[in-house]
Amino acid sequence: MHITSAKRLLSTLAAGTLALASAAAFAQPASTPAKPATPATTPAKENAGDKDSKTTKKDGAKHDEKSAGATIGAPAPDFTLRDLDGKEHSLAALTKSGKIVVLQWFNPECPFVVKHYGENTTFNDMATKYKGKDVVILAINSGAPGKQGVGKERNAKAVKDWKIAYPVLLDESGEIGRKYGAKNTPAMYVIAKDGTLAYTGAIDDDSGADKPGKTNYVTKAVDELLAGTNVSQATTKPYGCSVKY
Amino acid sequence: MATPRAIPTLLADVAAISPDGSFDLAVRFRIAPDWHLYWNGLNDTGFAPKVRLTLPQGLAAGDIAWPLPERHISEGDILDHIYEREVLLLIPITVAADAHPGVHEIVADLKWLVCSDVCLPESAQVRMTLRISEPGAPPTPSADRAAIAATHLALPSPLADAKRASSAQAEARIEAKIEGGSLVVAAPGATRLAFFPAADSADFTDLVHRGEVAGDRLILPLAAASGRVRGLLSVRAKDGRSTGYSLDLPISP
Repeated sequence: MHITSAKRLLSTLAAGTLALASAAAFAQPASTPAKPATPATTPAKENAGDKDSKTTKKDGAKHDEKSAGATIGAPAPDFTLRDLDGKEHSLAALTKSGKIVVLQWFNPECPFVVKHYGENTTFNDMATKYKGKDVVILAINSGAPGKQGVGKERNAKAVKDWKIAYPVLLDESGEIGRKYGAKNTPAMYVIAKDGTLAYTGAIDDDSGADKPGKTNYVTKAVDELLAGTNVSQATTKPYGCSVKY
Repeated sequence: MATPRAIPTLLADVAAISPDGSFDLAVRFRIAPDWHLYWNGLNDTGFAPKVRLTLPQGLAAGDIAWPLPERHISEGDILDHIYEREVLLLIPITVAADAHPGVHEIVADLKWLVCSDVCLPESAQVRMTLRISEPGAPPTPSADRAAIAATHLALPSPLADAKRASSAQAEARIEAKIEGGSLVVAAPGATRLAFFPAADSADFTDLVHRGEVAGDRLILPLAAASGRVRGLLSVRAKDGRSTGYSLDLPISP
């Protein structure tokens, strides 16, 4: 069941809480079990009658590669997207200039994103931590026109309200989100200096809508890359609202 | 304050229960049209309701029994398993032999995520009164007994049990196995089959497109060579009604 009309509902935690809500913190489930690094997934080709084998048509096949384009160790899908000021950001150019790139799928109205801003500063802290190092953080909004949290104005407001210190790129066709297989906001990807995907999954180990987790999987991966060691936990299960394709 | 999209109520199938007895507690959510809650299995974007009970002395709660959900696919091949309109989450309660007779209160602190194309985290505290009667007294059914009994009857049952049942002939012929790197399910007479993985199930290569089939045979390729396939099988009969079975199969290398 999919609502096509845009529902611009306040999705702040306060709006959603009933009068009798207990203030006590609920014990969140133990950190979402991180799945072991998935082997490079190729869609099953062995069934002759398999109508679901992926097609990559440039005219926008409805079911693009699932996350086959975002496989650990493989080159991360390239992109060139504009930020809110109209400036272009190209992954290939960043990789060429030796940067580690962190991608954050973003929706300023998703509670799982909101919990990391304002009082909590997960992403801003990350930007501060890597300032002056060869790490670039980019937020990508793959929501389609008319959907929740979409558009230059709404995202510019989030940047201002939350003092976001890195670019927010608009991917309104959803092309890049689909190439990366991004299903959630915030879903995270870390791309190593050689342009290969080094981490994909959640930002941290609290998959609820209240508060950030204790272990930040992304800074852990980036620190390991900066130290020249292997990423010890290359994949975790991402959490968050659905990307509003 | 926004209107909650899901209204919870705490119910029980008894109004009075004696020490050494047991009964079903139920958290019922009435969900606004076009909105949904999440099952506690595999979901791309949601999490299941969380329940924290405060029970009178002598009462103990078992695990929540989750009814059969439905698949929900959003643009971008996003797969969730959801409840719409109404769902009753059953919790078995046991009463100790030395529980004190009298009128007591059960409190449930609830948190849930309710979504349409946007998501709202909501929470509430609900409560009910329960009478613990004198030892030996028969339970007094509540007005909600029928609804809870119906929910109980419809809960997914282990497939192996279904096969042993001598009644429903069709059920006895449902077969699920791991073969050729896939979960293979045959359910003669079924008009639709779907598999809903548990959160800790082995992965599948294309759950979105191959996890549900119109027909009586489901082949769902695995992405793993070891581990266990765990989750719910939903079998729709010709009369349109779906029955759920729980599976827990090892993938032997």
